[in-house]
Parts: sequence; C-alpha cells; structure tokens
Amino acid sequence: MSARDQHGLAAPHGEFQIIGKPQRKIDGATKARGSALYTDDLCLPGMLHAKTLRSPHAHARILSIDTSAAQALPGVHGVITGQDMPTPYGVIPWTPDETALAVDKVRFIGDEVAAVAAVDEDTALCALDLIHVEYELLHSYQSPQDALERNEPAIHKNKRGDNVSKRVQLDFGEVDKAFETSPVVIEGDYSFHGSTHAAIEPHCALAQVDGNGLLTLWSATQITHYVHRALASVLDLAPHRIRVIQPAIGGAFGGKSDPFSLEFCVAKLAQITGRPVKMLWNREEVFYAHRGRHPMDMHYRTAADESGRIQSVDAKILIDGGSYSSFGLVTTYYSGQLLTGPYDFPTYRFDSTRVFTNKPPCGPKRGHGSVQPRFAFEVQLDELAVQLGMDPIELRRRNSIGPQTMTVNGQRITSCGFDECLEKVERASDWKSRRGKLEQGRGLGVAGSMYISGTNYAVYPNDMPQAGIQLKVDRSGVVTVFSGANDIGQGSNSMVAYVVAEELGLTLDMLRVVAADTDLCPVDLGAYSSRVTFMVGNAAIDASRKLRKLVVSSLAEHWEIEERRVRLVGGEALDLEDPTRHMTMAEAFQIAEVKHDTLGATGSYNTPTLGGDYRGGSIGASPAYSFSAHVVEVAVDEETGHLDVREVWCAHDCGKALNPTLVAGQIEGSVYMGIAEAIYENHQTNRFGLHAGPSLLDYSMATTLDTPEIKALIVESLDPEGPYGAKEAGEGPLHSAIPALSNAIFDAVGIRLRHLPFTPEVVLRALREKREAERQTASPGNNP
Amino acid sequence: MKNFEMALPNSVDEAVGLLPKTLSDDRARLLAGGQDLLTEMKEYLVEPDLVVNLKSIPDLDGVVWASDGSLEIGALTTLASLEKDASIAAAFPALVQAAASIASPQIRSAATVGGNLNQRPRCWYYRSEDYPCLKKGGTECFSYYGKNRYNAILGGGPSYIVHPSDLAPALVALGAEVQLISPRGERVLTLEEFFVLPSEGDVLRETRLAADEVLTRIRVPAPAAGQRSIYLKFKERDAYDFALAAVALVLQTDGDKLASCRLVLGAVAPVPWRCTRTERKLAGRPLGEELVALAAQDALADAEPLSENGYKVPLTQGLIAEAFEALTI
Repeated sequence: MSARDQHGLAAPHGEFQIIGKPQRKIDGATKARGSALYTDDLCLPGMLHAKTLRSPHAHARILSIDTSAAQALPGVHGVITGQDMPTPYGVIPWTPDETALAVDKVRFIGDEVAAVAAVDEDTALCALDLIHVEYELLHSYQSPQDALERNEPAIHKNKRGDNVSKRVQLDFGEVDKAFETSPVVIEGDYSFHGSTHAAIEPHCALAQVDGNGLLTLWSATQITHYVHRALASVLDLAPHRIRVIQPAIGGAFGGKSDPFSLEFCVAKLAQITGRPVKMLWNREEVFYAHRGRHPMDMHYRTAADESGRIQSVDAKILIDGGSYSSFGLVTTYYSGQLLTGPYDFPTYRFDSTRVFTNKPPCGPKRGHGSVQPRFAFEVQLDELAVQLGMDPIELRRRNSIGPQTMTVNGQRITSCGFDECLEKVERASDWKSRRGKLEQGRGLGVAGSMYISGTNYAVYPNDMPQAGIQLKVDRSGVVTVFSGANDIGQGSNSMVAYVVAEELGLTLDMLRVVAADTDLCPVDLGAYSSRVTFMVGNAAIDASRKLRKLVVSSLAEHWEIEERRVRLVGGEALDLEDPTRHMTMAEAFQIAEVKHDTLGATGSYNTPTLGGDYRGGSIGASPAYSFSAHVVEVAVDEETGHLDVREVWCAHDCGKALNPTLVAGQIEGSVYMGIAEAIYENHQTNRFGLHAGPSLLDYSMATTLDTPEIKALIVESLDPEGPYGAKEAGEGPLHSAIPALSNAIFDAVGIRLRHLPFTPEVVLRALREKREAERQTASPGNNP
Repeated sequence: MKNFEMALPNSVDEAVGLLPKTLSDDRARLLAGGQDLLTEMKEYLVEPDLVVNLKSIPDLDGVVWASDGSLEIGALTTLASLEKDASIAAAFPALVQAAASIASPQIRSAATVGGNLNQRPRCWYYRSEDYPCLKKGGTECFSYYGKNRYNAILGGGPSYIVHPSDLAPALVALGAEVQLISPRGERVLTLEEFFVLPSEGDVLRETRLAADEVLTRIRVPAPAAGQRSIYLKFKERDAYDFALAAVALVLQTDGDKLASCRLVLGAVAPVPWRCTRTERKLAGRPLGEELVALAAQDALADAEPLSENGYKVPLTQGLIAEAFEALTI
C-alpha cells in the first residue's frame, strides 16, 4: 500500500463542516419528486422493444430453434438466438459458464433462449410465441444432494465430470486435537433457505449504435466496468467502441452485479436493426434472473473450555448454487473465510462445496456468502451459552477478538468496535434487567457478526487502482466530480460530494457528481463487497487534496501570506489572520486557474497486500472490517405460531459515520431485510424446477406494517486506513439479525429453530415436539 | 394483455343480454372493481373479447337499511366504504372486520363486495400461466402432489384450492343471501348455497352463478337480539396478504350458556366452510374452556391435510379458540 492511499482521520481544517453531520442525499429531491431518470424512463427516437423467450424445461438439450415465423411477423425487426453470441462469460473470469442466450442447453426454467426486437412489447411477445424450439429433456437436478450423488448428465462440463461448482477445504491449526481435548462440544445441523433481492426496479437495458458505430448501453447495473468488459468480449467489439452508463437505479442489493442476458441482447439487436433497442424485464423474469442468497445446509461443531473460550470451529457446508457460477467461487470462500471474527478462536476448519442444480442461479445478496454461516454459528454459540449456563452476551464478550489482531485464517483486523457494539445493545435493550423476566411467550436474543469493507481481490487480477475519482473545476465555483462508482441507492454519489465539499470548503450545491459512465468516469470496480465508501472515499480525498493544494498555494501567493493561513470553508476562501481578506471559491478558483492553467485533479485507491499466504487467502481479505451486534425482542403466539418481532436493537461499528443519517438508514434497511427473509420470504421451486410463485404476492415480503421497531446504534471505531476512519455500513448490519431472532425465540418459548424460514408451521411443529418431549419426560414410566 | 372491447351497459338487463349463454363460452367477462379480473387478464389466464363494465349501471352500489333491520349491500359497494360504515360496524362487527382485513387500502378503495365474492382462486398452480391445472380445464390438481402449504385441508378433491374471499365466511356466518339476475329473471340463494365444492359441481367454477347471470345485491338479515360476531384472519404478514386460515363466528348467549352459533372457516376449504355439526353440538352448552376446546376439536375433526399443510389444523383451532374467547369470556 502506498502512502497516497492513507489520508489520516483528521478534518482538513480542524473541525469537520460536512462529514459526520446529518446531510440529505444529493439526489433525494429528484427521486422524491419523481424526476430522476431510471433506465426505463429513457426513450430514443425509433426505439424498438425487446422481449426474451425462456426455457419451459429445467434441463434440456436444444435440438433446433426455428425463428422464421417470428422473423416474418409484421413489426418484428430482429430475432436472435444463442448462435448469435456464443462466447461464454461470467462475472468471475475463471468460471465463464453463461451465454447471452442458451447455445446448446437450457439449465433452469426461465433460462434465456431467444430474443425479439419489435415495434412494441406486444408484437415482441406475439413473435416469441412463433419461435419453435425442439428440446430433448434431461434429468433435472432439484436438490444439491442429487447433484452430488449423480454426475450424468452434468449440468456444466468440467474436468472432473461432476456437478460441483467449487469446493474449498481449509484447515487452520490442529482442529481434531482441539475437539479431543475440549470439555464442551456443541454439534448440530442448520440450514438457510433461498431468498432473493426483489429490488423495486426490475432489470432494464437500452442500447444504441450511433452513426460512428459507437455502442452505448444504459443499464440498471451495479458493475458498469465489468459489463463493459463482458460486452466487448461477447460482442467481439473493441472496448473503446463501447460506452456503458448506469442511470438512476431502483435498488440492487447484489441482484444487479452480474452481466445479464438482456444487456447483450439489446446491444446485439441494436447492432442488427440499426435502431435503439430497450428491454425491460417484468417481475416474473426478475425472479428467474435471481442471483439471490444461496440455500446452504450447514453442519457445525464448536469446541470450548469451561470458561466459554472457543477452542475450535469445524464446519461442513453444502451450497445450492443453482444453474450457473455467477460469483460462486467467491461465495464458496466467503462461506468459510468470513466467520473468523468477531471472535478469536485458535483453530478452525471448513469444507464448503457449491454444487450446480437446475434452478435459478444464486449469487450475491447483501451479506454475500456469510449470512448463512453466521446464522448457524451464532445459534450454536447460543446453545453453548445455555450448556454453560452463561449469559450469551458475556460469552461473546469473552471471545471478542479486539482491535489490531490477526484472525486464525490470516485476516488483519485493524479497528474493531465489537465490544462497544455488545455494550450498546445490552444497555439499550435493558438486557440485564429484562432478560428472563419477560411475560410468557416473550424473549430476547443476541448475536454478533463481522463483515468486510471491500476486498483486495479484484475479479480480474491487475495492479491498477480499484477506485478512481476525477475533479473538474468551473469558473462559476462548481466542481464536477467524475466517479466510477455505482450509486445503487446506498448514496455513493452523495458520499463523494460530502468528501469533496469538505476538502475544498464548498457547499453541497456547488458539487455536481457524474457517475458510472465508462466514457466520462475513471474506472471503479463496482458496488459490491461493501467496498465503495472505503475505496472511493479514499480516492475522493486523494483527488481533493491535490486540487486543494493548487488553490491554497495560489491564494497564499495572491495574498502574500503563508499557506497555513488560507482556509477554504463554506464556499469561501479566507485569511485566518485578516478577516478583511476573503473571496468566494469561484474567485479563488479563477486565481488558481491563472497560475496553474485549467484546474483538475485525479485520485485513486488501491488496497495493500492482504490475506493469508495460501491459495484463496486473499479472498475475503479486507483493508478493514465492520462489526455488528443485534438484540431482538420477539413475542411468540403459541396457538398460531405467529412471530411478532417487537423491537430490534442493532449496534454497528462503521468506523467514522460520514453521514449518520445514511448509516442509520443502512442499519434499518439491513435489519428489515434480515428479519423479512427469516420470517416471510422463501425463494423456492417445485419438484419440476418451476418457481413456486414468481410474483410479489406469492413471494411475500415484509412491508412497513411488518417491520419491527428498529433502534440503530452507531459505533465509531475510527479505522486508520478508511476515509476519515470510515468503514462499511451496507451489509454488515444484516447478518446477526437472523440468529438473534432464532435465539430470542428460544428464550421466549424454549424451541431451538436451526432451520430457516421461521414460518407459522415451523413454529407450531417445534412447539408440538417440545410439548411431546415434555410429556414423555413427565410421564411416570420415564420417571425413576 | 389481449385487446378487447368494453361494453358500458345502462342496466342489469342490458348487461346480462351481452353475456354468453353457456359456461363453456368464455368470450365475455364482467368487470366491477377489476382487482381480480385485471390480474387474470395480465397473466393471460382469461382473454375475453368483451368486457362488460358493471360500473356504468346506476344504483348497484351503496347500502340500504330495511325497516326490519336487515342490510342490503349493492354488489358494486367498495370494500373501503363497507369498512368505514359505523352503523354496519355496530350491527355486524364480523363483516367490517373481514372487509378491513382484505388487501391494501388502495385495493379496498377499488375492489367491490360482488367482486370479492366472485374472485377466482389464488392457488399458484392456477395463477401460473404455465400450469394446465384442473381449474383451467386440465386433468390434474398439481397441489395434491406439489407445493400445497396454502391449499385445502377440508372439502378438497378433485381440486384443492381454498376460497380466497374474506367477506364470504363472514357473510355466510351472518346468514346472508345473494340476489342473482339473468335474462330469465331474478333468483335468491343463501350465500352458503351460492358456493359449490369441486366435488359437487363444475370443477372449473366456485359458485352456482350461471353464465349469463350477475350478482346484484347481498342481503344480511337483521341481527338477532344479543347477537355478537367476530372475524379473525391469520396472515403470514401484517401487510396485504391472503389468509392462511380465518374464522367467522356469530353467536348468542343465554345466561352462562351458548344459545346458538354459526361457525364458518375461511382459507381452509374450496368454499367458506360452515361447521354445522359443531354448531349443533355446541348449542345449549355452558360457556367456558370446555366449550372452546370442543369447538376447536370438533370443527377440524374431519380435516385431511395434504403433505405440507398440516399446520393449518392447529392454526385454525387456535383461531377458533381465540374467536370464542373474544366473544364469550
């Protein structure tokens, strides 16, 4: 890591003016007023509308496709199939197993087979009905166990000839010995069901080829740069002939972090027809595109001594990947690599296997790969606390890893506010005086977690910066920030505006942010792995300080004073020691422009070398880690199995909260999402592989009526390498909400729910089993 | 959605004249609030050439109290106006509770009482365009072997849908009648008779409504002296959702005894499920825990759960107990 990537914790001028204070989002008003432009709002002259033909079979070979009748339908301008774009791609370059449209096989019900561009959607839909596809049905794999046991027919070709997408086995220390010598061992099976993102905006893409042959793609994506690369490869077009733009986006949550079929299809159809082509997926299609949370079957063993100190953890995980790799290689690593905090344990082993099945492909959803293991492990810790008769918060405190430490798998922990997180939720929930004293059916549960702030694993290996910012100055005083980052609603555009305004002494209305446009903005790798605030924030400081230096030195020379006397604040430049001397920033920029010519600056960020010295050691190695603790209060209706989550206290260590309002929003959104997927959501297919209910009615999500009271408690353990000490807040606060709920249910009614989701039938069954077990132990026959 | 013509009749007679004569002819559909029909059309489950919009007919909405204390509800009355009516809430609490439990405020302000009673099943096999299910003229009820956690535990076979209406159990419990008009004239059925089990009639339909018939009015008889009523609906979430189970209970007490009751279950059978035997067993018994336990046990005694919906038995029993406790203890 170079020194240029570390900028210290201090405000540029003594006290922060903008950073750390509640601010509005810079795009809040346009979104609230409905004037923000999303991809589907964009219309170009002569634009065609495209639709996708999807596979009705879970696993089948394509014998033939006849598109002639569709081509002949009046109003149809283009029909394409897999043969038009056979080059495989994948967001992880090592596993390119997707094609824009199925080439020889379909692998799930909903897999893309053909696309039509027509004068309107209705005509395109009619044309889809005229495409005749002949299939040869293959055995469809609907469970990961089936896919492990059987190899023929393989879903994808690989050297081993099996259906395994990725297997990772890693050992740290003498695990078996630890289990042999530890007095307490807890062992159990846990499972996490599938859930999806259900962002409010469906996927949408629009492509245009201009008179010079330049292809422009507007797309609801959170990875502009990777889409740019994938388009170039699949379309066999030089990257400099392609421009990718992300307009305003209606949520993503990881569900828009792969290149998707529609992006290639509209581009190809625009090339073929010479007209702009748009495709908007409907809600049903978004459920097929999926890339949601992987179902996992998890076996955990935890060894501890009598004092509750964890001696070892041993995990075996089976991951249902669905039909394609997506980020699966990373998912498999994350399922094990991210468990090694916030608790210190001396030995650890995990064995994770991701297998393909003929279901919609899984991918990264908020808390990628680590929400499921965190659920299992934190429930197991609660079981350990019960066995030891120990307060579960005390158990966690006793094992807390602390700042400036190294995890068992070689992850470098710098800042760590986990102890403070525990303390905050303990105090806010009145844990000590209320736990165990609540009325029948009510309970409190706790859990903790850790998550990454970015990763030093760029999906394609390179030594270039991971994030970049470019600043351009206008004589009016406006500074335009060109940011590669994808603002998916988390507020990254606002964040860079706050940073640049703070550094240059500007007011927020003097900032313009142009983002996620590959022609205009420097490269950023995308909105994933909670990397943006950490990396792009540092790049913004880097660029701003270069520019500030030019302005300050010019003013010092102009006023004939020392540089230290020059302050840029609130849109003005002033001399600290002579109150009569001040000017607007517009005038200051003009003076600097005379001296330095046209003003501008670039900034960037790259991670230091991180991670353990073993294969995969860099995956999950982050420049900083965030920490969370949750306490959940639940009321269980023992007659109906209804769970009423009364209140959730979430303390999250995000380092410096650059905008506490947005951090609280991320905490609340994370808690909402975690509790909702634990109780209401279930992304499931039936035995044929057809999605059970691809609609927002059948896939029921929590609304405001179902959302518990959420108390967001911000912990600020200033991180030495984060921008002003900041870390992530978007994903971490989801993790421990779910196990804390399970632990609260145990506290309320004594049932241990190890398998998600917690539907009324699951609760009722567990209550019945508990009553039966109690009856048996109480009956005279069993009573000596 | 396929293109269609819309007719705006001025009278019920004109409307029924536009309708086909046979049930197999599905070229025309009636439109009221559109909350069910439009979702079916958007999913290509029905593709009518003609949509007959009842909203152009005057006097089909609104409620009228008769001098005997009975209530007449026009079929086009919105759920929102029912929900907000204080005099209905005083006379028939179960009816207002049922109306308020449906969907969302936006949907309730458009959805009608007639439409709610005539809505089609929500079974996902029925609603998915890709399934040729029994309800759509296919040969198989996929829920019998498939994903059936939302399906029937009572009265199922050959179709295992549950009737999705919330108003229906409440109105059956309140003894409501429905007025039906066709070119042959007018007829009145009890709402209980109006609904038909798949084993008893045409499996493609849930009611006895003829092809050229329109449900125009619902009449709720005057409440008996001391009559109490309640509607309890259990949903997976608090926001808009269909019931996993629901209970409508209307009863009168006589001192510390139960004089009589009407107990109707929702979301557990292809029709609103009236527990006539249980009602008879309970009449005249002393109030208290024993009566509640008997009601819960007997009402579900005939339940035959499918592979995934056994939970509905204890769930419904819990709701029945809650309903009796709310009205008698």
